[in-house]
Amino acid sequence: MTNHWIDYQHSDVIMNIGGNTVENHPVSMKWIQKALDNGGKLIVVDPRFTRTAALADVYAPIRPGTNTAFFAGLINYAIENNMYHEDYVKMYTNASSLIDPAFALSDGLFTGSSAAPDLGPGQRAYTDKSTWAYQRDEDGEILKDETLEDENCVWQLFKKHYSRYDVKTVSEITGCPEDKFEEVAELFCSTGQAGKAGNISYAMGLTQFTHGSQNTRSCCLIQLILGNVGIAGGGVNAQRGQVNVQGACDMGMLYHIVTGYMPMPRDGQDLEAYNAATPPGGFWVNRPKFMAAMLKAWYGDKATADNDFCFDYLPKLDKNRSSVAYYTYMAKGEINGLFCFGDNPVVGGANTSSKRRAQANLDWLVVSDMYENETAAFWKAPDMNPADVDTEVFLLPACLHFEKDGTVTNSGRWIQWRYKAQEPYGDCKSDKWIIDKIFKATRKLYEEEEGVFPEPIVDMVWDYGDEPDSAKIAMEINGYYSADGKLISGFGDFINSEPGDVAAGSWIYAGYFADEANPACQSRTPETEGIGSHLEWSFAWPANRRIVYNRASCDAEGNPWREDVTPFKWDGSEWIRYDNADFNVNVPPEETAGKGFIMTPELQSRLFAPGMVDGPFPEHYEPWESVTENKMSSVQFNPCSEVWYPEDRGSAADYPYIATTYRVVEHYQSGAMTRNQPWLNEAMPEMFCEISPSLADKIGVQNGDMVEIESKRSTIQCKACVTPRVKPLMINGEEKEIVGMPFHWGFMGLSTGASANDLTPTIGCANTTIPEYKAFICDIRRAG
Amino acid sequence: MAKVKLIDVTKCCACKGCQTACKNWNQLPAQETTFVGSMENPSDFDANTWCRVMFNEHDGDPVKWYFSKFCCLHCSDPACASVCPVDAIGKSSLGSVNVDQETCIACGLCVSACPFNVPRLGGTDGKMYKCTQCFDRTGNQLNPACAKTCPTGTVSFGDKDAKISEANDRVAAISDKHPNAQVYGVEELGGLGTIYVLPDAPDKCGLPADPQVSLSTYFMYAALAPIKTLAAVGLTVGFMHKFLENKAAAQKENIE
Repeated sequence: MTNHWIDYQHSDVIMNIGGNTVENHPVSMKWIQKALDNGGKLIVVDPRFTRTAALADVYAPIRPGTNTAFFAGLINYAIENNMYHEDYVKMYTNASSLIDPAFALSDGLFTGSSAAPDLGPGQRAYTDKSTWAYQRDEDGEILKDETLEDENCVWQLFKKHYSRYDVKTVSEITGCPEDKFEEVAELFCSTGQAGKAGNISYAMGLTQFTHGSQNTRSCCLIQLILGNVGIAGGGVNAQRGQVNVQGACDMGMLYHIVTGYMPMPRDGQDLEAYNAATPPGGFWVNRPKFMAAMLKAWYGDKATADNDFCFDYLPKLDKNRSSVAYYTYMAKGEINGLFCFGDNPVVGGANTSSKRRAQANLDWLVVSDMYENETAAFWKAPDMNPADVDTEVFLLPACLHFEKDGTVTNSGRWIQWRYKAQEPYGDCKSDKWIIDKIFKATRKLYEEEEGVFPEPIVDMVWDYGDEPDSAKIAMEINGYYSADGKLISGFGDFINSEPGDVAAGSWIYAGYFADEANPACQSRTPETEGIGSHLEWSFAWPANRRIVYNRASCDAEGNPWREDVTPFKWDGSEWIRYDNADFNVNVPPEETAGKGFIMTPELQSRLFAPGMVDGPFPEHYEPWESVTENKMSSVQFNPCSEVWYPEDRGSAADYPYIATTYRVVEHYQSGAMTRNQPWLNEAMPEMFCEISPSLADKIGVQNGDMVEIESKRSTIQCKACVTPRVKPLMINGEEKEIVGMPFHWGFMGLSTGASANDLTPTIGCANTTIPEYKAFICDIRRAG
Repeated sequence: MAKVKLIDVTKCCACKGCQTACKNWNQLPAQETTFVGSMENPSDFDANTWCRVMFNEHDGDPVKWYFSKFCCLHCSDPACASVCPVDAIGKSSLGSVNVDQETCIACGLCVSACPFNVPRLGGTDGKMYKCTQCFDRTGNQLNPACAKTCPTGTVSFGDKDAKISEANDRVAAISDKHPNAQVYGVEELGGLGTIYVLPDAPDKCGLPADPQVSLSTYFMYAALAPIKTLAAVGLTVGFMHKFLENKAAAQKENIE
């Protein structure tokens, strides 16, 4: 999130799109309710009328997989009706920058693509991005037209791109009726005025698509042109679906990044080549210091400037190693063993029946969990024959989160220390204890028996004690001076030192554990006056900022766009502050004007973003599987997504219904915990699907009857919930029905049922490979 | 001073936190339920289910979906107590209607007398069980478990007059969004121990528009009245008071 949960109370309009906030983040409603009590409005955009929709002022239906078009329509509406925040756009975005005149979009493809058979038949890659670039003068300065009139300036290209998404077109793609779309657009774009704040909250309903990253880009774009980033009550607010998923990402758990969102080193890259790719401006110019700090934290005295701080010890990314990809390698027998901690891919992954078959190719599988989940028990799944599986499975008893200490980082980036509430049950241990034992045993083996390339293991700093101490790990993440072990207090310690002087596990956490006796992440002092920042309650990365890009809350002279609630205000001689600044507060506001986005070299946000794999502007593509043709171009789905199994793609002739998956409040993720909880099973006892009364009539099904749902991958059975909360949508002139399914069930635990993910496809986003769980096609019929 | 629960249906997101908190505090086992075509579950009370959220779905444009937390409404003049032949049911000083299972003879008259169909016989002893308004918490200045856990401010607990006034203010504030919004529980049956803010007519929210104590209940009451008078009502009330005090003290010890 750019903002945080408590800040929701300041929103004039909240649009929950691609999320279902009250069902999946019930406590969010506490703050949304405050906004509503203050006269705010709640818009819900969702394929189904959800429990969040029940509390909304405006509900608009949308076809799964068409969010890019929906946002495009909003952007076009704001521009055509002059509802965008022009001063903000000029000051804080790259709207005025001139782009290479050769850049163009033609029939769904931007300039510079070439055939990429490695990604699958017909797929393309942007191998030549030379036209996705700014025009520069001989000194390398970006050429700009502050009037925004030059036909090659970003704003004109942006306007031209989005002019194609008129209300009628958007309605035909998304299925949202024109009048309903206009109602949403009118209300949300009203926050484009200075003094108004619009908040977009979303979750996996924006991200889990082949074009998921472009969905979130689109969300940023509408918020930027309405001037809703950096202000109180605004923001691009990703609501994390798991209590510490933010913390896991911060620690580099994703395959394409290491800690603190630094890119994963690529095959063949040495430190010099890695550092050569450092962004030329903005705060990222310090990246070589952050990387050196991470390596010093890992390899201590062994890491020196002379040996590139042991950079060569790091694994290098050779190809797509995402969760989707590695199961395809497993299916081919290329992976021998798998550690699975706090994860249940045999229920939560995509195309789960293929995952069960792939796991049979493993020699060994280690699962650390509270219960024997479906991943550990894959060999006894109803569709598996135990006699055919040779995999040796080890199930390690993990304790519950209340039975261990440490920090969790919430969606608002608040890092909060959690104390152990009670001793673990029986022989259960924390994951930290288990990993510590495995690491030490592995290192002993390398020391005693050597082996290929032992140094990355043998040389690693690993001194957290016999019973690993969370505080010691926290201090390593926070960072310390290599010379004397003194804890660093913040980013200044990196900037004012040489690479390697500081060791720090994840640079963005600098300062959260700077005081060993009273670490900021343990602080619990509520504010007595302010805007709900609560700066002494826990610690928010980066630098304890509660709203990021907060210079953009004010105009050039330091006058807040929003007078009543603002993180900053210039009183003529100094800044009045209710948050920690991400700009220099010691200089007059004019000097920081227009430099609100410190993580890009141009210090402006990007309406045109050349860093994306699949285009500098978001363009609508259909999901991989769709019931209709792409209305915008002849490119049917994201041309840059990797297609592993082309034969697994169904056609609308065989699978005429739109399918989507989601969660319900009563269960959590793959259900490994909650389906073993009788009170929760009582509240939501069985797997079901939701369909409209018209679809139920068509297939001859009554509410509560068993149905069979089939996709190209698999077939499942569950009960039908026939409800007017699901309605068919008019798509490109034809009425299309939707089948919605929760994905919580599996064959283990106290409540068992079919896994919706048996049906989902093995394909993911071109930028991140997050699977396309949210939009595919199916057939449905009465069971038996 | 009587205390009441205020349930604001216009704020409920149906997270069922109240259902679970009730089971947790009162240590009630789960029932085995099945999916019967609605996300509402359990779909009825039983001896181990004292609190549930009713899902009221109405087609239209837009669809209306109202979530009504439902449990014993703790009537000012409880019909269940009137018909109880052994005076096992009484009112506490805070206004909660409570049953003493040691006295209860499981005759079931209270079940048929209740205008809201709340009490249930069952458990290991077959006697009457229902929401206690968490008297073992409220007697110790704690909110009922359902109010304690509610994340959206739907369920709260406090002095009757203050909560009625809060409900009236709320209805006035939401009249644009909910033109049929109304307060429920002030006039009904001479006043209930639960006040609702409803977004729509009571029957659209799963509640009887005009709750009535049945004629047979009046007859039963008339028949039992002379016997009850003989049984010295004062003694019973005193007993209930003592009973609740003892139970609250035991709970307090447990908490500490």
